[in-house]
Amino acid sequence: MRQFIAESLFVATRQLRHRGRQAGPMLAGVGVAIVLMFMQLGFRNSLYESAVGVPRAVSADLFVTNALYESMTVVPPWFPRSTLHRISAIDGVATARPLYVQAVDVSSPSKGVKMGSWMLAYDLRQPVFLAADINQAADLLKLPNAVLLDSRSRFEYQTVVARVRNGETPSLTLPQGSATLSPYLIVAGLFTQGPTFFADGLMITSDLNYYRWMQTPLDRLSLGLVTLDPATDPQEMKQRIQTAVGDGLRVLTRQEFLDQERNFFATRTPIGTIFNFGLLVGMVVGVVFISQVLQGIVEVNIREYAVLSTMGYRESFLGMIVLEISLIVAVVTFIPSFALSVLLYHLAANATTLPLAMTVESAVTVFGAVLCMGVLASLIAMRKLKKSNPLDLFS
Amino acid sequence: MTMIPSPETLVKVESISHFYGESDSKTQVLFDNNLSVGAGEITIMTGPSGSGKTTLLTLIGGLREVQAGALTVLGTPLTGISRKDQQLLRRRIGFIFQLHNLFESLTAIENVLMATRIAGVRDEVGRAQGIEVLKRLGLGHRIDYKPRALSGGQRQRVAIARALVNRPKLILADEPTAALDKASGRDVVDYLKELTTECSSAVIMVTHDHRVLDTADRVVNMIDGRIVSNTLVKQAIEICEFLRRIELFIRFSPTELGAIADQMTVRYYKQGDPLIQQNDIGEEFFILGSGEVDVLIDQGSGPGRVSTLGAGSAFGERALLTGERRAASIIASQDCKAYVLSKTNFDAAVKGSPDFRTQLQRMYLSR
Repeated sequence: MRQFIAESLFVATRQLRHRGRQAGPMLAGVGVAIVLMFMQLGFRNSLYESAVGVPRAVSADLFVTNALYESMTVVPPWFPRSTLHRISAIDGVATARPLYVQAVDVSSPSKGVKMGSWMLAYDLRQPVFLAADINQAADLLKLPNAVLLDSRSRFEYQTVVARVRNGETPSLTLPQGSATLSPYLIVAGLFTQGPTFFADGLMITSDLNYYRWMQTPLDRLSLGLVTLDPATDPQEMKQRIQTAVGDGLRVLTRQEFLDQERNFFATRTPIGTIFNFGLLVGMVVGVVFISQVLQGIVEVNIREYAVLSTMGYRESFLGMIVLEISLIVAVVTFIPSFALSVLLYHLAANATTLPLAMTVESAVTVFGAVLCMGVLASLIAMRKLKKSNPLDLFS
Repeated sequence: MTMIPSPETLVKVESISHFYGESDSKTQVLFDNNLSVGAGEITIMTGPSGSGKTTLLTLIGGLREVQAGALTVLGTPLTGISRKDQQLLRRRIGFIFQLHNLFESLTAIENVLMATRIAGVRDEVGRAQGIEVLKRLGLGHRIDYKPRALSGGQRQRVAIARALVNRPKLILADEPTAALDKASGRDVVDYLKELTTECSSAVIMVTHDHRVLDTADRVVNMIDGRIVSNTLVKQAIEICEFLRRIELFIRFSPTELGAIADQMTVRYYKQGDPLIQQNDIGEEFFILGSGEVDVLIDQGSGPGRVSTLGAGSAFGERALLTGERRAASIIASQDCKAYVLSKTNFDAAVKGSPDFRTQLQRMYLSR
């Protein structure tokens, strides 16, 4: 088998080198397809990562939500805060803390235009965030109307961030059509989180300030964050709490909650579908280009394959040559495409402040897809290979 | 009768017919053809375009399925042959095409190595063999050149080296010299000749190149899908020369002698084998090709030798002409080869040539 592969590889590499220059534009096409896949995969992963950014930032072994809850990005349906008291009373539960989530629009300080943001609020006596910079700045939130602003928030927010860094405490207004005077927020400090696909900014405040602006009773929770005693089993505790709170609420482990957030974007939003579709399109385009390269090479060498057949080489040998050419094309074009994609990720991440980074998983996924493209293209080209007929060699 | 085995038959074509197309468009292109090619033979197939030469060649090469008749190549029956056996057979045959059909991306020696590899030869050995053949074909200084850097003649010689490097027992060549100049064509044919001699290989060559006809041991002429003549050239020449020296055939033209020679078959005898038994009914006419035979007559007291005949001697015609029984026994006194003409063909020759019959009758009447 080793000799079989070595001998076919010898012919494959020679044929490819011999015709390689003519196939240049097609190889470039394969490269573009690979970059396209990388970009689609990168944006999709970025979408997923941004979707789980906040859940990852809070400390919770279990999440409690309304049974109708879909995602944090869709303003979560509320449930009574008193539920948390009942959960706290269950053996094995260390803490059960509230988190309020609200999408808000604030006015740009320079132009007055609306800027989308997420606002997270919590009870300062029951910290929920893991990040040290948030916890260190928590005292600032005791001030009326104070918020902490994500320093990586996009666009106009950067003006605010710059002013905070200069020691100022700029204010933002919350435009409300029915109010005589719009409420305002004071940006008292910064933290670092990163925006999402759906909001340019992220703010954290206290539950009291939240109530002050939203006029929403603090009994109406978005999420319940439950921490457990170390010795407990999360799955078992999940069942116990679920039984205790009834069917109106849902209890999820941390991983289940993260998966739910990802799946919401993957399956319930157009953008997730678009990125998955884009990945597929990239793969199809790649298959088409590799097929074109292969078919060109097979076409040119069709008599040579007929000679091999006449000499007694098996069809599997000819098939192996085509497969190897295909895989070489795929792998060779993968390398520069990978490098180009890393550069594009870097540029896109800087431009969008989204979590866009090349991961081993992405590289392996696209490489696997590229190998599949090669195999698929070779299967298509093998139909053409059947046209090689030793009888055509005779006058 | 024990006969010395004739040279090994490498290709045996028996009643081969072949058709192109299916149902209504089915066309017969070969009609009930028979042919045997022995080891060491160069067979040249001639005939007009469309006469079926290449179809027969590709059938012999295992490149088409045998539809009707039987075909045995290098001991392998090709009727219903499996794909795997077909591929194994092809590895034992050297194919030479009119166009060189070299691998453009490989050098001359690498092209040749493609043949040694499929034959299971290690690359070091294959390379040495390849270089030797390329040198023999005058390409020692071009072994690392790719086809595009070679002339047309050089490319064809590389293709021939690729076909011959494994010293195959059978070489099938389709117009191998058509693209070559006279000198290159002669080189190639000489090398083929050398190979058939050294390795007892057989060559079947389709060609219209009259410059190489002199190398043929056998010339097969095909017309409209039929083998219309199948002549062992050297043997026919030998027979004609023997016939010409025999008084009976002195007045025959070369064409008439050739026609008789075509109908004679070769037969081998070991020392002591009888060629003719006294008192048998005469069925065949003999010319001794090589060796010696004793003429024995039994007059009641046991057989007694009356003479010894050598190469070129003819015997057995009297019983055929007169209908008498054999007057003597002919016994091989050493291993010998005889050319034999059946009574039917002998009679046909006699009928076709009144002059011939008159001569014979005059000769026997004068005895």
